[in-house]
Amino acid sequence: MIALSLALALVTQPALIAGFDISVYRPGIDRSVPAGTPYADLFGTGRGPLVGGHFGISWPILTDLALTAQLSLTHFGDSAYAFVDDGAGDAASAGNKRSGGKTSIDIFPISALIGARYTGLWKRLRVPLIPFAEGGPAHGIWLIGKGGGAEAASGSSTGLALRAGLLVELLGLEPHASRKLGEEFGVRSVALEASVLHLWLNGFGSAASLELSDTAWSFGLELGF
Amino acid sequence: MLWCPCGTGVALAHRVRLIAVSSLLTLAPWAAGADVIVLKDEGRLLSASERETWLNRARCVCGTALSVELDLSALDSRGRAALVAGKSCITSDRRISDSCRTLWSGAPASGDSTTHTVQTSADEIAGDCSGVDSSLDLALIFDASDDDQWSAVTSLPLGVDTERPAAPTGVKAVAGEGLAEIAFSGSDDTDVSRYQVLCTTAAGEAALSDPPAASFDASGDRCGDTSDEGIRATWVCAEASEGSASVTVTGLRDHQSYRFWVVAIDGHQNPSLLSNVSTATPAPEEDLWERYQRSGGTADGSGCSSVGAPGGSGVILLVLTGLLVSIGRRGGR
Repeated sequence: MIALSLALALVTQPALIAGFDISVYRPGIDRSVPAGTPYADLFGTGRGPLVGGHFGISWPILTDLALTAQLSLTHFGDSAYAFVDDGAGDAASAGNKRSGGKTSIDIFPISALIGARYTGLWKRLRVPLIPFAEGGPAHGIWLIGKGGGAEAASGSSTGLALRAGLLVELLGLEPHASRKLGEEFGVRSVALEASVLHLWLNGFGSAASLELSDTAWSFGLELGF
Repeated sequence: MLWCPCGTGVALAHRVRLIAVSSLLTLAPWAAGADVIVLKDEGRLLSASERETWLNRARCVCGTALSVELDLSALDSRGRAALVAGKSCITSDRRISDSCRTLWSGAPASGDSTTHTVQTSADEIAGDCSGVDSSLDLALIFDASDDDQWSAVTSLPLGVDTERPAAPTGVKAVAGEGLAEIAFSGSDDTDVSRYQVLCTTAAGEAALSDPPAASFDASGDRCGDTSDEGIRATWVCAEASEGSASVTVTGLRDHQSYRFWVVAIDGHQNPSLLSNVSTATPAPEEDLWERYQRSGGTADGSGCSSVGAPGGSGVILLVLTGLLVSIGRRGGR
């Protein structure tokens, strides 16, 4: 990937891309334990926002195809009241009575993605849709906190990130605004993004890594310069 | 609400020097406020907000005497000067308003002295302790012809508030591991600036060995008003800002019972009466990590070391970040 990026950078003029996105995420912690559902017990069964941004470069390598390389930085956090420890090592047997202290989890998935975008629909048919797919290594730093703000545990899990979806090019629909943004701010494209994100973050199956994997819907906005 | 029926100064707890500095020869206008009347507490210059805070406290601590020194050297010695406290102290017919308190009245000069010392007290300046008088002036006025026709020379604006805010209600303490979360319904008063949680052991001893500073007058001298006798500065356990509905008290011992109250404090450091009391006993809790481990989870939680990372993906990510930034710079040129 590095060699390819360098080679492309030498022969083409890349466009900068940057955006933010939000995914509906839930770490897969409960899938990795042999008994019980610790995450669901404390935080419920719902999903939460994985919010972040990405920036990178897009190279038009063929008439209808662009290659992208991006770095994505995101964060997921949740907190809930911990359980009172009944002293017997099993809060569940005591009815899972909530304590006055909050336990929390923060996850920071970072991924480097290389991908491809098909621009033929837009260029040839004026349909402002750009399908894309990308993937690459990912690294999720996590911290679990206990009541009073103290850290209970922390670590990191590595793996892969895969994403596939559609970009809806907005500026192509409004030529006047497109020209103005381009002239005044150097913005060449503004696109809405809808995709499916799969994070495979479990140390490649290592039992010593916290399972953070999930498949989530993701939505965002991206600018090209 | 009545805090205390303070009388005039009994003991010299504080000495405040009020120095009026002027080049006045007649009734030429003095510069209003700054540098004309200077208020000091035992030699220390008090800012406008400090003046109000200090006076607000002093008037309700019996025996807080004041020594006000006026520099009258610039006034015509044939006239008569007065120091008055109140609001709009000179009426339209240039007499002293009945609503104002005359702290001193006399000839501007006596012998070689250019200053005059007025012995008074905090409550004489600010009025009795009941109710609220949020703004008043400490004014130096002058009667040039000794015919009871007064003119303002200069004045020092002061703000005083001795009314307690309403106490918080619905206090409920829920224990955690070495802590307790205190939830409450805030005071209805609009001038509440913060809340402080007070806590003691079941035996009535201070819960924390190094408590946060009290934001209220903790002198304990209420001149016979015992309605807030439960309030002690050493009982402060935590503080919450105005608008808060809960606060966490940390530094508590597990398996020991504590009592908790919340006090509302207004901008003049008046505490409310104590809220209802709530008790809680901190105990060990089961957080996500402990729950995970008890469920059989085996992940390493000892730090941010990358576990199971073939080739060190963290390093790869760092390299890629640098690469993207450098290529991006090239592309942006």
